[in-house]
Amino acid sequence: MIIRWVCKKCSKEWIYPVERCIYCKDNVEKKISRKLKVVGFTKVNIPSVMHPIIPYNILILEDENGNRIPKKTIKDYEMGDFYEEESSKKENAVSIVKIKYDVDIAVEEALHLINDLDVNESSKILIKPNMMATSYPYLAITTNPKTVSAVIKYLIKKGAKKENISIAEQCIYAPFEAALKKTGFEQLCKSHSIKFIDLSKSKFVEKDIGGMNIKITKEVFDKDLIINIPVLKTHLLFGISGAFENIARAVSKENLLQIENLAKERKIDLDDVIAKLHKFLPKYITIGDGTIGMEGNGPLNGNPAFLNYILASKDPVAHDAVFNELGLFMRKSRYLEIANKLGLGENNIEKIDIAGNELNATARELSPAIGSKLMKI
Amino acid sequence: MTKFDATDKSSHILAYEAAYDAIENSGIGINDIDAIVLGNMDFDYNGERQRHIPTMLSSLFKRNIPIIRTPSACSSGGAALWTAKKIAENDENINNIMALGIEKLSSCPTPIITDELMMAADQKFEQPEGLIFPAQNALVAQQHFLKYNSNADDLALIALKNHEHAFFNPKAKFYKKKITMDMIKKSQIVASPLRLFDCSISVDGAAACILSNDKSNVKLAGSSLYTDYLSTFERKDMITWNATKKAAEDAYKQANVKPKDIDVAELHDAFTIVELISYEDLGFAEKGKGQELIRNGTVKLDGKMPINTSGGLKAKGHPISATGIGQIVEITEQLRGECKERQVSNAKIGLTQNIGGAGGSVIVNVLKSS
Repeated sequence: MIIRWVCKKCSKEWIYPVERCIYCKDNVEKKISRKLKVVGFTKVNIPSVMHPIIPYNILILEDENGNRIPKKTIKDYEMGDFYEEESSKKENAVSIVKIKYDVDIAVEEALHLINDLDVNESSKILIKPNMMATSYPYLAITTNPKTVSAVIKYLIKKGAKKENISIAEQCIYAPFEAALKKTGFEQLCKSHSIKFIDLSKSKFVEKDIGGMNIKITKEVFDKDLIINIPVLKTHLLFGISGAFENIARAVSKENLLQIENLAKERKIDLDDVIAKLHKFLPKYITIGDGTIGMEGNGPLNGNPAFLNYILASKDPVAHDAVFNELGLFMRKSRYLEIANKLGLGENNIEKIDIAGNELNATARELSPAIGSKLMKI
Repeated sequence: MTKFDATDKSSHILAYEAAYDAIENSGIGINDIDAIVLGNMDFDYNGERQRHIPTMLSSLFKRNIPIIRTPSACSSGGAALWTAKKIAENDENINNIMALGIEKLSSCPTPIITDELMMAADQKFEQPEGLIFPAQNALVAQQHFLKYNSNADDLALIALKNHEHAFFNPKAKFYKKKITMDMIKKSQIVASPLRLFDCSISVDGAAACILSNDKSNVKLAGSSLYTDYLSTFERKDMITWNATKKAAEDAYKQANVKPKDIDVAELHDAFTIVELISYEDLGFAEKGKGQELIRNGTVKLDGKMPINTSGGLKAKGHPISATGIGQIVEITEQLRGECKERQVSNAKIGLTQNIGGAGGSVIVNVLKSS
C-alpha cells in the first residue's frame, strides 16, 4: 500500500500525513494505491541491529502514478512482478503491519488482513486494553490509547454503534481513577463518548479451574465481540506479555493476587493456570499494540522497545507465538504449548498463516526479561 | 588532519592533533582563531558518551570563543566549512575561523555502526525496511545500470583507481596496501550489485582547516550547500541527485568557473556508484555517460581530471564528519603542490563534494590557487 497526501488545490504531494498544504493552506486528501509493481531490488547480506536476519531483499515498489516505496522481504522477486499483501481467511492467521503513516491506518490494515471483523449496529462489543498501572502511555506499560482509538474508529466505520461499545479493565496495583487519567483512557473515552467499566466492580461468575474456584467477570460473557488489546511486552514470569496475560485480568483481583501468591510458593504452575483459564473464556480477537512496546524487565520495569507494528489475530495462541518469534527470544513461553495441547490455538510458527509483513522481515532481537538486583518486585 | 584509520586515541586527542596541524600549516596562532565550527555526529556507541562537544573544544584549546556544531550526517564537515565561510563573510568581528570535523567510529561492531548510520535515512519508510546505506546505493546502482548500460566493472574500476591513489597517501587507511582487481571482483556482495570494495570504510579521524579574511595562497572561491528530499524513492529520479547539481551550479557561478576548468576533485565516494553519478551531476560528463570517464582513464591520477587523489572515502577512509574537511585538506595540498607521488601537475582549480545521506544534503566547494 502506498499513501500520498495530496493538496487538492496545488497538487503537491507528501509521504507524511500532513493535514494542510503549507503553500496554499488548502486541505489535503489521502490517495491510496495497492497495485504495486517491482521496479528495483537488492539482496542485503550484512546484518544490522534492526535487521539481524540475513540475507533479505529490499524491493522498490511503484504504483500506477509513479510513487515509490521500499519494502523488505525474504522472498525473491523479479523486475515487473506485482506485489500484493493478501488477506487471510484462516482462523490462525496473524497479521503483522508496520506503522508507516498513522496508527489508524495500521490497525485498519491489520484487521483487513485477517479478513476483517463481522460487526453491525446491534453488535455488543467489549474492548479490553492493558491499564494495569498508573503510567503514561509513552512508557508502554499500558496500552496506547491511540491504538484503542483506532479500533473504535474501525468498529464505527464497520457499522457498530458507540453506545454498544465499552472499554473494560481493572487495576491490580493502582487506584483505578488515577490510572484512568494518567494512561490517557479518561480522555479517550471522553472524546469518543465511550464508557469505561471498572471490572473490579463488575459481577463475576465462578468457574473451577484446576481445582481452584476462579471468578471471571460477567462482562465477557454477554458480548458479541471481545477485542483484547495487550501492549506487546516482555514479562518476568511468562516471557512475554501478550493476549494471554492481558485477558487474565478478566479474573477477579482477589483471585489474581491469590494465584500470584501460590505461584511464589511454587504451589501452582502459572503457565498452566493462564492457559487453562482460556477454556472458560469466550473467543476473542487480539490486536497487539506494538506502537511502542516494551523490552527488558517487563511488564513494569522494562524499556520502550519502539516496535512500531500492530499485530492482529483471531487466535490468541498464534498471536502470542508470533510475538515470541518477532522478539527472537531464546525461550518460548511455556503457556503456548499448554494452550495448544488444550486445543486453544496454534503455537507452531510453521503452521500459522502470517499476513502482511513477513515474520523474518520484521523480527529483531528484544532484550528478554531476566530481572536484576536493582529491581523491587 | 590525522591519519584516517582505526585508533585508540580519543576524540579529544584527534581534534587536538588536527587543529594543531592546521595551526602549524597556516601560521595563524590559536589565539588568533575567532570562532570554531565543528562537524560531528555525536555517536552514542563509540564508548565516549560525550555530548556537548563544542565546550569540550573550549577546554581543549583554552579559548572562550564562539564554537558551534553542524551535524548533517556524512556532510557534517562540509556543513561546518560552509557555515564557517558564511560567518566569516558576515561577522566583522571574525577574521580567522576554524572548521573542524571529528569522528570516532572504530569501537562499534559492524551491525551497530550500520544501524547508527542508517539513522540518517528516513525513520518510517526506510529504516524499518532495512534500507541500510549500502542497500540504498545498490538500488541506485541498479537503476543506473538499467537505464545507462553502466555495469559492475565500471564500479570496480572506480574502486581500483581510488585504492591506487590511496597507496601514495600516508594519511589514508589503505596507504601502501596493494589492492588488485581480482580482490575487488571476488569480494563479498554486501547488497547486490555492490561488493565490499564498492563501499567506503568507516574509520576514526579528524581534519581541520582555517578560513581567513587575510590573503592566502589558496582561495575558497565558491561554496554552496543544497538539500533534497530525504528518501531517494521519493524523488522523481533516483539517479540524479539534485542537491549536487544545484550546489555545483551555484559554486561554479560563485567561482566563475565551468566544470571543464576543474583540474582535480575530491568526490564523496561513500559508494563507487556515488562517484559515478557525481561525475554526471557535477557536469564532468553528460547524464548516463559517467562510466566513460573511468573507462577512458580521465579521472585517474595521470588522466585529464584526476578524481579522489587522496584515495577518497573508499580507500583513504570515511570518518563521517571529518570527511568533508579532509577533502579540503587534500585539494589545498594539491593546489599548493605538496602531494608528492600523487601530485596532479599544474593543478590550479580544485573541487570538493561532500554528501549527507543518499544525496539529502550536498556541499560543493571550488578552490583556486592564488
